[in-house]
Amino acid sequence: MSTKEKEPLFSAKNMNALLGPLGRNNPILVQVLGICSALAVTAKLKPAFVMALSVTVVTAFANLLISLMRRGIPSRIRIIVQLVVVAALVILVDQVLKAFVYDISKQLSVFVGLIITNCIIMGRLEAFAMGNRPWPSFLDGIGNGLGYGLILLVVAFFRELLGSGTLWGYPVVPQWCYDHGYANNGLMILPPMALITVGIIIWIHRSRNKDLQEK
Amino acid sequence: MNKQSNTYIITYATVLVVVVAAVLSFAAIELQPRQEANVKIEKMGAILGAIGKGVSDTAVSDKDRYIEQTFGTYITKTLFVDSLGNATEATTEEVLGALNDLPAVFDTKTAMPVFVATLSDDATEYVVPLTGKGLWGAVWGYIALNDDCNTVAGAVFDHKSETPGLGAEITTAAFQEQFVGKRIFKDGRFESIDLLKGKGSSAGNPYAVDAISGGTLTSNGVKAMLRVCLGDYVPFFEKVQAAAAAAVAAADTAACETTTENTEGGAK
Repeated sequence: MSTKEKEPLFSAKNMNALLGPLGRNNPILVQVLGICSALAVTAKLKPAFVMALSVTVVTAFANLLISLMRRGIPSRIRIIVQLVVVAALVILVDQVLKAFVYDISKQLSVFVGLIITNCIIMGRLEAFAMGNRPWPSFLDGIGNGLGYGLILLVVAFFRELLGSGTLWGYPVVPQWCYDHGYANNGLMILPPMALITVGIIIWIHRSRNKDLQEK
Repeated sequence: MNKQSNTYIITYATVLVVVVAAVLSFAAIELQPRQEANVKIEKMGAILGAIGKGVSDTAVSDKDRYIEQTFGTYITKTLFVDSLGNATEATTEEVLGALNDLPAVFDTKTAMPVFVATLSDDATEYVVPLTGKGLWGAVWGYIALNDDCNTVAGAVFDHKSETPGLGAEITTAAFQEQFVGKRIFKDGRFESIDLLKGKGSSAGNPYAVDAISGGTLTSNGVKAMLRVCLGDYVPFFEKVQAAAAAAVAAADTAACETTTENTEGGAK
């Protein structure tokens, strides 16, 4: 572990692994990974939150496990080993959701299973966990999961507010707005608007981080 | 040790897979009772929804407990019905268990579940399950009929993966409330309930409701589901109606006899 090398638990490098993905190096905004599920589960805040939490747990522990195993993994079957570990974690998450938050697991339905194919996880395993010690890898996993979750929640916030007039299931658009002819925008609930929302967020992100702009 | 040798790779893969399999089986077995309880609660909640006693009809804090208690209060009898309409009483557990594989139940038609609800004003309602195919996956529901086995008292629908905002609208109260008061028998013949295109096109028609606009394929699925599944119960419904008619006739005869006596008495 990193403490043995006298590196503080939250050294600058480790903090960068944890916080980088939240802003400058966001997996969705910069690496454009994990878009498919970002479209699918963001119609409401609650499933988006549970999805974000599940992905964070899976990336963090997959990174940790793979990093612990990295010296033993035969390089010729490393992708398969990574997949087995990720799949096992995802099935565990799925079982736990079914047992404890059944309603939400029903809404997430097939997308929990699809966490396995979420490119963020395999990407981080290959790019980070295979070459770093467990603790930084664990932080990197949490960071990327949260970075993904953050965007999910932002997208879900706008889609739920404009599409259903509610937040976290509670109505927030007052009745008199509806009385005066305001209507929920049904288009916001459909996947294309998630893509457009993500696009707008990427636009804002790039205009604030000019070095990310392609020449 | 040579990490590139075939022996190492095969051993590594085998050990890994066995360990993972053991962990997952343990988790699955540990969590299974809880998951099954959740599934059962969901079905009981849907049945309560059909008789208008569902979770959305009242504000409750502990959903699971409310459902179990209310279910025990209102569902007074559970039956298995065969394709000839013969009903045999069975335990609630058995009948709820049959809901887990409805397509098979409607294939064999030997033991189709019926839930008999007794409401607070002594009215009886019959709740039957429905199952069919929507656009992307399964659709299902429960429909509650009044004791005449003709008028719909309530209906709930759910789906696996219909399009949000379109086909998935079948789960909304606005769609489901349309069914209340509709009838499934026309002049003694089974008619089922149609889903008509266009808002308001079913106005005044007791045998139809408005379909979901933009959800034609889901609507067709629901329509087929109503026709097929309710159709399987028709012999049972007719028996109940016949029994009710016989009871009424008997009461009528009794009433007639008393009146006759009275008139005779009056003539004398």
